[in-house]
Amino acid sequence: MSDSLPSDLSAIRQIVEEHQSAIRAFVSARLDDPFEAHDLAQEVFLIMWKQLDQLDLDQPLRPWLLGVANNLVRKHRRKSRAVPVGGNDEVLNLLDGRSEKIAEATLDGPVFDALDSCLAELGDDARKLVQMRYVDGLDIREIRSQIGGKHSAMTMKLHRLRALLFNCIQGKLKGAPAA
Amino acid sequence: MNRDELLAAWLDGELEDDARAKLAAHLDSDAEFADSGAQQLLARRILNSLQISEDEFADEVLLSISDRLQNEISAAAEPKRKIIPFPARAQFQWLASAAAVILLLVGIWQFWPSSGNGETFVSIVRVEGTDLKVGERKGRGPVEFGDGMVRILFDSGVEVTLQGPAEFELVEDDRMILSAGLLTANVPPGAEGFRVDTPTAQVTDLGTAFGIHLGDDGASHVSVFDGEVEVEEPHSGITKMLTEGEEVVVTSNQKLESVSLDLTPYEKMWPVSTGIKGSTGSFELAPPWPRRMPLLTSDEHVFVAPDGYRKSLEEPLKVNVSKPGAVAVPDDLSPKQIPAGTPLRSYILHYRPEIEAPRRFPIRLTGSITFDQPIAGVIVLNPEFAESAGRFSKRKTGEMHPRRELELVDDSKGDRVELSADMRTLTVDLAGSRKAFDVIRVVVDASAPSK
Repeated sequence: MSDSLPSDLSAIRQIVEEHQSAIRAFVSARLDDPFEAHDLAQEVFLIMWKQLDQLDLDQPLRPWLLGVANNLVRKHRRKSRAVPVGGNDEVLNLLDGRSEKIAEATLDGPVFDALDSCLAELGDDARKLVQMRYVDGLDIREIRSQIGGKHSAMTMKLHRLRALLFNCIQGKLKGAPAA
Repeated sequence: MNRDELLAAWLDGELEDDARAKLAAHLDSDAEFADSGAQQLLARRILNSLQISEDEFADEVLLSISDRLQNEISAAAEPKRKIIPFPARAQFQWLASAAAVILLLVGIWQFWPSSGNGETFVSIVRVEGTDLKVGERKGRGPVEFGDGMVRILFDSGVEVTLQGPAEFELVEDDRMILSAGLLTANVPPGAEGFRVDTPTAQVTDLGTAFGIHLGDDGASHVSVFDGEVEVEEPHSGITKMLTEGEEVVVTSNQKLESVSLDLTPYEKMWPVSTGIKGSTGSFELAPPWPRRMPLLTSDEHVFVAPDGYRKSLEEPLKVNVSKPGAVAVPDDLSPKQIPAGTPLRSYILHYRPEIEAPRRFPIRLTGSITFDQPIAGVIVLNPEFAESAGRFSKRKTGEMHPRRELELVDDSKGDRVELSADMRTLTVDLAGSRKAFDVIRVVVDASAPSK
């Protein structure tokens, strides 16, 4: 780190606030568990704090933070394989590598801002469905017990919504200035 | 189901094994379909993050940094805990070796239980199948026992559990020598620098939980469950930093090799080490590693794991249940504020169903868990959980989410807990629905027991 970087906590807060969205998006796109992703994103900034004196602040910080995040994700995946319960999933193994390449190519930018904006564009029913499934954590059966509908129709509705939101996020990011 | 329906069902955790194999075959044979699946997976992951509020992200990072700074200041203010960096340590290796020999001779001459200067710094906290007595105080000197286990508490707050046949020596309140047997150590913040010497290695804690077992071939296996330790081969001075999930072997011919983490040797002692006396029914003790509870999913088990380390409360702690009896509705709660200064251990009881496997028939999860010290209180509701978050460890357990609290409604969908008359056993009866991701915090008295 150059001498020009103040190491007080207010300066660190500024760095965290500037980069947290990009780091959270990077980690969240690579891990299934949002709690793990949250922890790992925080760990990136703790590592930054520990290594402040080795950072060259004349260089952009974002690539360095993303590199740390990438290392943490890989390390986490290696360790997660040893989890004795919960197991691994062949489907997940087939999709993980591809999803990482797509994330690298298309999810560069303010992903969560784009998500908020895309959610706001949804109709009330669709937004309520996303809320029930992903914020409240209800499963399909529970959602059906509240709003009715066939099981398969509900899973396909969510399927289409995910595709719609992904395309919308991609579109917003293409038009957005780099975060 | 066609392939899109299979993919949609998998993404919603609704696909069983045979159908999953069909989906895998489709993904494997069609790259375009696999790409659309990968996009869907990304969308699901981004949407999943909606369940965690990020409003306080920067605050939480700053809080962690402040805590670590505080720990570093405390460690620096305590000269005897200061870790001597290599190569300075190597230069004085001969002195350390000579001191160890002298200490050993002195210890043998003095013969346990008499200690050198009468100063004691260790309490016996739990005993299983040995002649040692709970509540006994010990000072410098050698100890050995045959089959059995013992948990000891150093005055520094370090807790060590040993499984026999074991031979060890207490040197100071931040140092011991293990000559035979298995050991796990929990070193709370502020007690960093605790050191265990084995015949082939010096293991120095940097704020952590770790295990050591000595092989028949004389090798020392060092495993880290949480945090970091430094392992040194004392003859060559070669050191290695280990972080959680890593293990090294230091062989009798002075080699230090990384190996895959093997938790098997610690299985038997893990309940004693964690302060759990026994469990029945759906309870399953979480493994020593990984300590990230959200990773542990099961349709049939309620996992229990220590959350952080033994600590004295810095601020009062609000609990929802503090008296014996059953709790099925809010009126049954017995709220209490545990005063600051109370030494406690915290445990998280966690039920998180598998997301991949659909549940055709709702079940109930019942079981009891008994601790070796009295339960001081139980937290089952969100406001108290949110207040307790981060007070025992920084790990996220999902406790901040309102849906993780118990549902105290007196019907088949409700959850129930019951505290035994002696306050050592908690019985749970949880509704095992898919939406249930129940989290309970149990805080247990951690004061050193008297004789």
